Amino acid sequence: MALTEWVAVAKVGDLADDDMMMVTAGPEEILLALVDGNYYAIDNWCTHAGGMLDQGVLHTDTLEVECPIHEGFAAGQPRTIAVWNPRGALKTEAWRWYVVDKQAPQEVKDAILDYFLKYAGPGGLTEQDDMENWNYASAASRGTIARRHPYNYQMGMGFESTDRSGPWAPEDALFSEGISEQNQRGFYRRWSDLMHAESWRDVPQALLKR
Amino acid sequence: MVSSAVMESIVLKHEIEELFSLEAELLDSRHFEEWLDLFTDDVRYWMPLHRNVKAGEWERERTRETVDVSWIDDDKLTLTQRVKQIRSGIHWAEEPISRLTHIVANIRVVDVTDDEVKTTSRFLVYRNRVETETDILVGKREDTLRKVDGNWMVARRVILLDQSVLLPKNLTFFI
Repeated sequence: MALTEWVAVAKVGDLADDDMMMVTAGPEEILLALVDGNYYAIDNWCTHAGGMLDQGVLHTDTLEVECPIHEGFAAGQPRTIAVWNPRGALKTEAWRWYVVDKQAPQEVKDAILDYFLKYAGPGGLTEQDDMENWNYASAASRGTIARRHPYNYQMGMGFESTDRSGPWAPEDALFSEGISEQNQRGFYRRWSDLMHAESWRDVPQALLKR
Repeated sequence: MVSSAVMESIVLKHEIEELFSLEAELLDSRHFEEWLDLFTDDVRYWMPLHRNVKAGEWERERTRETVDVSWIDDDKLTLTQRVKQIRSGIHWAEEPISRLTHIVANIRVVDVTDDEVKTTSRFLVYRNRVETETDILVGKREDTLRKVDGNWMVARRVILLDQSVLLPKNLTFFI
């Protein structure tokens, strides 16, 4: 909703220097900041994951506002595991796990559940848009220009490690931390093994550490 | 001669039908801010998941409120954020925006207290977007309505979609 007239939202003195506050102008929630005597105003709502910026951190040196949800990322929360499984040339199946500490207080568990529901999945404010990109990127890869280029699966290549963090991991498993296409490489390597073998007897034994 | 009790229930039913029709009209004509005004500040807008369970365990069919996961568990703030997101012009899952038609039927008043009524109804939501993306959602709705300043408002909505695996790719629209 566009505002077509001036609206008084606060008085000089309401806001201390190097501080910020949320004000409302009609239906709009605006973040007002005062740095070195200059007033700044932006939308109070972070377009990334819907965080309320007035609850974030004002960095006066760079004139930036850090979203409160981004602070959470820095603290190593929330944590999720995603695996992208190739299902043929034009399909990818995404598996997703959300990790919550068993020992965490109920309040923390509730907050993390609430966050995941509002962030991820078909109802999540952020992943709704991600899914749209993933869908249409797959569709676009059938186009004339895209077909001239091979897919690139190099992400995370050479950064895998053999460190085992738990007894659940197979002896010869490789691990990738962060974002990687290790899973896709493993899938297509095995697929290539199967396609190139003359018979079942010639199929090389599956090795994880490759 | 119709008794006054019957007349009262007819008037109440009429008021509720008017509210649900107005709500559908506001959503289908994309008047989302006015639609938000139909919800109380303490509203809970909740849509659980459905599991496939064997005979005798039907009470386990729906995920539990506040304990388990759900498709949607929104308060007024989050509903408002969803509306702002649609208005932002960079909400790619709704840019361009869906064409929607809401049909609400089989409305029943199941409980009346001093200032609240509990209703059940059925919904059919048709959604079509861009070239051929089409979803048809059918299910039950349990709404608790509260009279605020002479107007009925939605104080609680439970949406029971008749699907286990969610068939639309997202829930970027309201039910």
